[in-house]
Amino acid sequence: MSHLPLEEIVGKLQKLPALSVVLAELMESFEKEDLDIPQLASKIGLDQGLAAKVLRVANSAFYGYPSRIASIKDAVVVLGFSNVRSLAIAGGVIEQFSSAGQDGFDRLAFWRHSIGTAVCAKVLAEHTGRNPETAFTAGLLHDIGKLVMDISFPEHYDRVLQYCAKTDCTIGVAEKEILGVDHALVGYELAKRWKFPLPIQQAIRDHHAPQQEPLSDLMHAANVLCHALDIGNSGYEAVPPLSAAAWDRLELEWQALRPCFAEIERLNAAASLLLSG
Amino acid sequence: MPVMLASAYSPEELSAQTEQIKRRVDWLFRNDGGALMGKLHTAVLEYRLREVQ
Repeated sequence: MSHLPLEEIVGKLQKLPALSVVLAELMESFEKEDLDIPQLASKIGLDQGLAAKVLRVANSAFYGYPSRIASIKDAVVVLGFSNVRSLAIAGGVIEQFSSAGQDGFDRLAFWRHSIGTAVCAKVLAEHTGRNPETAFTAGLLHDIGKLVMDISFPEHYDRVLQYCAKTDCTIGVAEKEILGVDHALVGYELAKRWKFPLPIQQAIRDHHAPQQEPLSDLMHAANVLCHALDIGNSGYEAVPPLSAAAWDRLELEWQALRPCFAEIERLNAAASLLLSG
Repeated sequence: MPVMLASAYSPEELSAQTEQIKRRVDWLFRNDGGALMGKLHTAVLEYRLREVQ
């Protein structure tokens, strides 16, 4: 089986469904300063499935509010718009990819890893003075290229998974060997097509090889941490190597990392409710 | 990840797992001499041990 030209992969991306209108508006809103929050909240509320997912997380033990949060409007008041937006984007993207599935690639384990990385990114962002909600969204989407390749080229991707299991390499190495491109580049192409904010596009592209962009450094560390904590599975078990340069740029002491673990596991239990129902 | 007794595996499975562990340790140390990843794994292990105590 020969390598796939990037043009062929990009061609397949054009055939994927566009991002839903609500999700596209929510993604766009990261770069807007004059947000019409009530209008955006009401758009989330109109999508009943999406609203139910957000409210399930908002009412989880992690947030611990004494009375039940019954509407998206209430959730915005209690959790803040940024929090609600990142949960809505997560719920919407998971929903968008829920119908397609192949035997070889474990979608549930994939989303568990994506949510786990989103949570790791959010907690690391909070501890390093970065934007936690942008970090959460980038974390959720960092591996989206794997899903796209599995949907678009299922036979090729089965071979990637088999190669990975046989040689115990990282999935990126197997993708380059079998397909000629890796999920980071494919994810970046999709992020461009779906007009994600630039820092999120870059973080998706560079999460295995961070290039001094703050969000890419954060995404790199969050992905490694999620693997080390054994949350979900994104196609291979080994923990990918942590870049010393990226870690240094985060300026997070090892001692400060330890308290993050319990926080990550608690928030991950809540965010994983996005996968139920 | 569940901890299983070695006797739960067949000799072939045990041998395959041993080889896999060897490859992973080798891979870990080849990447950065083990220093940074060693620190990360130690931190996670300490956290897990504290959890079960």
